[in-house]
Amino acid sequence: MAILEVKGLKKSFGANEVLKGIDFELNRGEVLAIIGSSGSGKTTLLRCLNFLETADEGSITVNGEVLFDGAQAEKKNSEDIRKKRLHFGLVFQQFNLFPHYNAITNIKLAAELLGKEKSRKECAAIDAERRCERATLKATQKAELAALKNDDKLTKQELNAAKKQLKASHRAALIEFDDVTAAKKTAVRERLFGDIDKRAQALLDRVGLGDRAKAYPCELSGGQQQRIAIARALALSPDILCFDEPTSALDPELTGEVLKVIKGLKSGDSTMIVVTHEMDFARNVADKVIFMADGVIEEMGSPYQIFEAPKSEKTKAFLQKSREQTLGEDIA
Amino acid sequence: MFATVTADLLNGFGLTVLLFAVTLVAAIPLGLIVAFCSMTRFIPLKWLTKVFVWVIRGTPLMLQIIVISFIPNTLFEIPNRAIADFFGTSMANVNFIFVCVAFIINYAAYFSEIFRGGIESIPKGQHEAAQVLGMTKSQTFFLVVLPQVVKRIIPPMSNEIITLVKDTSLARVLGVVEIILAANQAVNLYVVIWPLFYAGAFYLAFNGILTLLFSFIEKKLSYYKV
Repeated sequence: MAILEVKGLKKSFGANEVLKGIDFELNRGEVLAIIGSSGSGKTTLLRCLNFLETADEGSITVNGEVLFDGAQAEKKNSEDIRKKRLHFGLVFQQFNLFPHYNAITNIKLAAELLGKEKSRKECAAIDAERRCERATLKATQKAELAALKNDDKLTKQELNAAKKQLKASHRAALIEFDDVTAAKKTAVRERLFGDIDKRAQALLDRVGLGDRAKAYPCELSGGQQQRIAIARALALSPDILCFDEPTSALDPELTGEVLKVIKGLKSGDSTMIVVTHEMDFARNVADKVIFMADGVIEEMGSPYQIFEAPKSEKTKAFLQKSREQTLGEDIA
Repeated sequence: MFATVTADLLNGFGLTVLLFAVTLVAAIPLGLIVAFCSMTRFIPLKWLTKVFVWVIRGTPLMLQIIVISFIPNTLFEIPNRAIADFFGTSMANVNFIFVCVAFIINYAAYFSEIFRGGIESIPKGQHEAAQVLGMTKSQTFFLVVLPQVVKRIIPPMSNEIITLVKDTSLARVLGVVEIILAANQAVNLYVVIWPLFYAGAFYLAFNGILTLLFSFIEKKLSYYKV
């Protein structure tokens, strides 16, 4: 089954219709490259998927769950949108790392916040559940004490001694009960936070920057910053990872390292959508290529179909142009 | 004579510093609230705030102090003497409170513009990056935007705060004996001029300390570039 289904997606900014009905599907583990000239709506499409823009019409379905349906004029509940966003990760053209946090904090910040939110909820649930049980326990203890008082066979001295003993054992039981509650909460926290640091470090290693954990973004090159940004997007393990022209803001000699990292992710089962101007990358890495022009999908198919046997005139013209550009660069 | 003048000036300086501290502590949070109001999407509130800032920044602080001291009597027909009696305090204290209120409102308006500029200078990409990572609006503001704003507004804030130190001398229009009025009284009493220079030395020392403090904070925050 397709992990992502987009149907009839439309988006206008004022009178300017940027997306005029986009339909496509993507299977788990596939890499989709979106190519096309500037202003064709590629970036807007990615932004609609990530809910940075709200589409006007159409639907977005991930794993069978309808995330967006233009037909249902639902209220924009920011809490709702926040949850839906987590299906997608986005790597920006301009990296957008948080400059005041070092590399590893950039990567784990969101995971920690989500972890805190979850642990607060789960601990509250534990508290609520245990509070009832504690009340029941206390009631039983009270009943036991009352039963002891009503026992006529005991002398006053015996009664006092028995009472003392019972109270002590009750107290111990309550302390033990509270300890178990605390242990349960600790277990929740351990499960949610225990491996955050390790996972962040693993992600750093994965993008080849394992030794720069403490570096601030301003101390890293553009290519390194973008690799950190990729690790940051991966930290929340999104279903679909989107790249918005990830190498366009980089010097030519730095694009290679970033493309290598993205290519490396392909061997995992990450599903990716890459908006790119790197034709070679699209041809070699993508499973599926979409060529967009004027807000519609002009042509869609395997890299071979698009690059070697394009049917549409627009695709042919675009590819011809980009080839000439590369050629020009080579001569220069 | 030197000892008595020093004691008088120290008393005045105490009031100066108190006014300075009260204004700073109250005007910063108030200024943040005003800054949010001036950025809200609720248009009437936005314009109301803009008019407020325009009026406060467009009229002299001295005028504002005087007007505020007249408000209870003219609007509510409560004489200032009655306020003093009601709280069992002196007229001087009531006047000091009027001055504080005027300073807080005035500086909140100035601070709000600095805050607004700082908040709006944070690139949209920072907000978007935080959103995409599933952060809530308050998490985005307090963990991503605000720390960067603090770094950016230190220079304009230090300017404004140093101006505040010197503006405290306006408190004398309601007879609050801050350091310059104290010095002035000494000048009149002993017919010598040096208490005025002495008062100037207090300002210089205080502002010197503030300058050092700000450069220290700036250095502390220089571990990253925005």
